[in-house]
Amino acid sequence: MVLVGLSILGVVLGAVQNGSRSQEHVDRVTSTVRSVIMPVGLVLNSISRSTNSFVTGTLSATKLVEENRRLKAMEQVYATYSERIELLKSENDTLRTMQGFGPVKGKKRIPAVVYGFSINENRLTINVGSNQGIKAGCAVESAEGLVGTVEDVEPNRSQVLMLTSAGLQPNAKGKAVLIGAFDVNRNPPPAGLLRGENSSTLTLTFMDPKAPVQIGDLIVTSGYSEKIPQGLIIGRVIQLDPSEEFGTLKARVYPAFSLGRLEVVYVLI
Amino acid sequence: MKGAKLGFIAFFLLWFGGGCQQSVASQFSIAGAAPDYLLVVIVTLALVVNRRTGSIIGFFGGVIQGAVAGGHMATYVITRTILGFLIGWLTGLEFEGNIAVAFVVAAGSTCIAQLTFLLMSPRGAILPFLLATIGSAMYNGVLAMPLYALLKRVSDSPRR
Repeated sequence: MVLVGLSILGVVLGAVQNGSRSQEHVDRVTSTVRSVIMPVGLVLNSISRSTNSFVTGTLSATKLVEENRRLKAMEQVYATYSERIELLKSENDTLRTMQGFGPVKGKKRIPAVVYGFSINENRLTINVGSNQGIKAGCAVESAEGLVGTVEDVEPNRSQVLMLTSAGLQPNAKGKAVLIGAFDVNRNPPPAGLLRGENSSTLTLTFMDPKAPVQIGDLIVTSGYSEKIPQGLIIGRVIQLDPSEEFGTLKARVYPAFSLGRLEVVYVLI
Repeated sequence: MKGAKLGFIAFFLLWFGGGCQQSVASQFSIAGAAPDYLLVVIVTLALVVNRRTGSIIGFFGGVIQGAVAGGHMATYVITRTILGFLIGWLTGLEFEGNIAVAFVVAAGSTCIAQLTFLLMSPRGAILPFLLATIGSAMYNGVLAMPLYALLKRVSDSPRR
């Protein structure tokens, strides 16, 4: 009896959660549970990262001392070429801007700390929400490239559905997000539609089987979506699968962002 | 284990397990195999209680997991409730529980939970998912052993 009752209650809770999500809200049960778990999550995340840094630092201390010595010697050499360094710095800044991490027209970057990861669900939890102006559907990027889109928003936290999620497929259950993408290594850049393939790769479908795409090409957002601006780096092509039969070319794309290095992300509002 | 003591221990472990699951599970993944702290907590707690209490622990574990993971609340709740029930029922049978049993039950439960998850949320690349599931099952089994030993130590009446 208890088993049946609890299972039915689970189905009801699931339905309430899905209903709230379809209205871009978070249901009360989910919100309460997250509020209770959040403090311990933040503390554990902080401890884990600090411990990781400490252990890494301790293990590589000898190497770091040696590196420090080498860097000091190099600094003296660099001092001689300071003018050259300034020039290179300027070039570096230009390259960063060209690679898409410069200012995004009409958008503001809100920094957020990632404190929750859900590998199976391809979701991240970040510490900014509607109080900071975050809305569902906003693009989330890291210094490496586009990470995903905001799925649900609470006053001081949000969940991000990562690019690699199968939920980004057009026919998947739940909210579908289609991302238009360009291959910027070709002129004119061929455009396609991007969807999650599995937890580590994406599929970019071009409607032309002879689209001039090559392995290693850089893929960026096309800007067709209102909330995802143009020029955000998505990743690089690692495999091509032309299909004359269906009149498409499927490119497997390896995303630029690395899950292990996601500590701080930026929400574009 | 019964009463307020069980309630306190279950609440603390589920709360702490939820925090671990949310924040550090991915950081401790090895070759795609990540630990499932909440499942380990549910399994080990269910091993020292009866099937009714096991179902309730599984239910709350599922609610927490569904909330922090952000999807498929019903899937998590139903699978965890059934697992809690089955393990609690297993505890009622005439067999001596030990850390080896905790390992086997945690590993088996991980496989069942992940395969149910696969059925509810089909995905393209099945082989990597299955390999990661086996890795996670071993991982959870290893984690369940010390937790079970600890629970047995603090338990008033380990067998029902």
